[in-house]
Amino acid sequence: MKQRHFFIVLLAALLGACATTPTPSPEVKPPQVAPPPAAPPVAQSEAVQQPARPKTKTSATFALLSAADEALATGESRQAILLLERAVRIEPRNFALWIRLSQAHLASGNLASATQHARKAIALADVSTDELARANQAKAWLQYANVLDASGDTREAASIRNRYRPQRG
Amino acid sequence: MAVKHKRKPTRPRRGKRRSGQQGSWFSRLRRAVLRLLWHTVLWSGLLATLLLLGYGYYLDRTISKTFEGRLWSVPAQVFAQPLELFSGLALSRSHLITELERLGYRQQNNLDFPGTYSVVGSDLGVHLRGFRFIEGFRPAQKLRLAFNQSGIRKILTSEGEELILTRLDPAKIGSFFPSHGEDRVILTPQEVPPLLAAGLKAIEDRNFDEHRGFSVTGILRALVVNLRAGAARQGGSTLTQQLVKSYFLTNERTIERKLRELAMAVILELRFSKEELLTAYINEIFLGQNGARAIHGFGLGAQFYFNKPINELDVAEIATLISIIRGPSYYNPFRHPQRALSRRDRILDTFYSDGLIDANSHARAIEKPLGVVSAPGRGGAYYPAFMDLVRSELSERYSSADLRSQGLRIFTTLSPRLQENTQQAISETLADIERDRGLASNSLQAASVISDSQTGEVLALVGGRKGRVDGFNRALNAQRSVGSVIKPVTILAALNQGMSLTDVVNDQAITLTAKSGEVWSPKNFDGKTYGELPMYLALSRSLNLAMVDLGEKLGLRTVQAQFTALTQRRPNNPYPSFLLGAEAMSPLQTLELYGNFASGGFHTRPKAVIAVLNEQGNALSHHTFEMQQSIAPATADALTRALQVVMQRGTGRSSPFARIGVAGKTGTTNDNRDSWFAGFDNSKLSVVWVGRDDNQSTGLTGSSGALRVWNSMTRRNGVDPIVLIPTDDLVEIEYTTGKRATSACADVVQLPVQDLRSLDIKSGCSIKPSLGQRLKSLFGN
Repeated sequence: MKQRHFFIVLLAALLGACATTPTPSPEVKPPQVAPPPAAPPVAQSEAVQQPARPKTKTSATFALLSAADEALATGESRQAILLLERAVRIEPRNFALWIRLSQAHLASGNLASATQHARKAIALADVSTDELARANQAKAWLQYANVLDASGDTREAASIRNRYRPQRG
Repeated sequence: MAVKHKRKPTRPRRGKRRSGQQGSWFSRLRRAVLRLLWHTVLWSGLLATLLLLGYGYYLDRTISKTFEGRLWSVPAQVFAQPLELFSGLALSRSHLITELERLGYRQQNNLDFPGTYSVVGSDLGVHLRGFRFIEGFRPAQKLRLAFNQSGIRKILTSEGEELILTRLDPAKIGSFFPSHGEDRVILTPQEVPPLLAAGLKAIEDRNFDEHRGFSVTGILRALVVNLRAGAARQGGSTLTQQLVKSYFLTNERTIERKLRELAMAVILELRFSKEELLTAYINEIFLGQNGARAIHGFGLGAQFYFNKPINELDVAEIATLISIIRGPSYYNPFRHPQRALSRRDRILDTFYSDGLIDANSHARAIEKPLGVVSAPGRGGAYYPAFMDLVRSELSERYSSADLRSQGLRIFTTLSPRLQENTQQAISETLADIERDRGLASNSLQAASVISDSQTGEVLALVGGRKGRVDGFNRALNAQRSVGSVIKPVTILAALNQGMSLTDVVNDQAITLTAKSGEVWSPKNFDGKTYGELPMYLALSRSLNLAMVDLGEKLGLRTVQAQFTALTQRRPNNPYPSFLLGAEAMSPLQTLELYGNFASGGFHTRPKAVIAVLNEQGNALSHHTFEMQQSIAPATADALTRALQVVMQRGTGRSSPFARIGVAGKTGTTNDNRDSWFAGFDNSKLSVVWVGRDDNQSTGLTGSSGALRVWNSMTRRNGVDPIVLIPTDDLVEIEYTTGKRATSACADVVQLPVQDLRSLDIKSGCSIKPSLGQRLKSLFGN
């Protein structure tokens, strides 16, 4: 569980770091928790960027992602899912959104959707063999490992973590 | 409890006494006759009273039940997907104006009211309407949008704050009682504009507030007018009588009907308040006809004639709607604008003389044109074919008890822009095809469904060449053979068995004999055979014999199991002709099949309903994205590449969009009865069927029929090209031979190949062969 929280926080931080500066919106509130000024060294290799993702949509979906995080933090997973699905309609191939959807479903106890959405994230991140893509794949696979843990398949989860755990040092 | 029967003195005794006094036979006879008469009168009086009471009871029950049924049920409202607005969105100002006008926003410089927009230099000002979205209420807000060449540059609030993201209010695409499917926009008494209520009384029934359902003076006045004119010019009906008449629509003009109407009106007045009656009238009255759809009530009328909600109507528009009541076809503002205008002006005069509006409003209103939307079809968003899908999904996934609750708000996935574009493309292209090929006009029919390729949400659904007309919904209900559109299933089964797209299949004459002794000898479309060729080429050229060869090698069962894994249903056809698409499917089912390919390997059931909220705004149910991985990502990628080759080089190459990143497959069935195309880009999946309702030949192939319709749809909807990231196993291959080659020495396509050694190298292409290949060329196989 600890590890899962670590990854959620990490992902939020990373998305915060790489997104364009959000401006306040009455409809979509900016994140209340400011992203850390600099991501830790571990994070550098995992910077969440997507190939062929048009930059223009990023701030819109990021705003929704942040609002979804707030909802998740207060246990409103249904609201989080609504916001994330709205973001997916804007940017359907953004694997980071699918990772978060998987997390929201996991939080609401819907294991079937958490599993399928993690797989969807893997399929979308699994498009290239370069370093960046490897990091993206790792994010998606690690979320899948979280779902496997919750489903009781800890052995498979551990094996995935071994394969994709970020290299330290 | 015992009941005691009192004995009453009986008439015979009295008779006996009398008969004792007068004994002549004549008086006896007279008494008998009188007695008979008395009995007859008494009993028939009793019977008549009973009958009348019974009839009264029946009338009361009928009218009260009808009235309460209509008044107290608030229908479900159905909404399309709202348009998201954010800086960077590729949407020009003129396109945004089109979208705003579709929603009934009108141009007005000072943006005083929600539902208006203004053009300010190169910017656009918009006063957004407030709206209760699934996630909560968004109040009305004034915005200023700046544009650059690529689309929206910036969105600012009236306070000068920048907005990251906002959205338009969604189009209301229907309003119906989920239980009986009727289409209404029901207003509550609070939603009725005061001028409408007062105006209706002034024009239709001056004594409404005083009378008890009928008006003697009204009837006498009408009688005088009609006698003078020598014809029926004026009706003496009160609003209540008109309401009754509207409930039991009939053109019968008999005294009996008039009396019944009168009795029912009196009953209604006894049972319900004036406010309830007036509201019911406003929600019920017939205001026009649009094809098979009757326009009832002012809520729907406002949407139909002016494409806006009732609370946004101005004085002149209210007068126009009231003017229509007297004769919806005689005063039809589309067909007889002059007639409608002069009646509207007379009504405005009455408004003024009755003190309902002041001189200024009167003068301004009189100056206004009729202002009805340009064509009857345009008023309000009305998409009956898509609504069929909504209804069927509601009945499948929601309990009927839930659907009976009042005032549901149903949020759907429909994109009005794609829906309108697709409908237009179908109507126009079918007419073009008929003209070009000398086919009888209106002989062709078509259907199409478009979905978001990643989520499976249905964005547009067209059930026939005429939109806005209820009728046979081919997208959902036409079950037609899919032909070659099914072939990717066999290819996928082969890939899943470890084969590569470049593996060789044999296109040769084949005869299969069923257990029943039935003999089947399929043919290629052109009647030729092509011998050995790579699998992707067989798909690209849609060769039947090669596909049967491959299917037989894999085993029909394997292919059918693959089909079931992709569609979660068993095929209907257990014979090898299944391999060539002798399998009846609806366009929606075909969309479900191709959703697996377009999504990169996930099965989703096409979905139209996002959420259903009750009156309090709580979700009855929220159908989140549901999917099931059905194909490994790399295999799905390979299949997408093969389907891109079909477009670039094969049966799809006639499309002007063939080479800019689309994947798809055409299908033609026996004797050219059905023409299919299923294709996708990076974000949208579309299926198109073209054929005839009588299942006769059209003379069209997949590419000359359905693909042509798809081209026209795509021209309007745009392409979001497929982006596949290069993988290590991609190899350049000569299209026509399947040999390794380079673009310098051959016409090549790029496909993933597991085992390079299995490939021959095109001579003269200066590709260094592997050791295995060198050995192979030295020693043979």
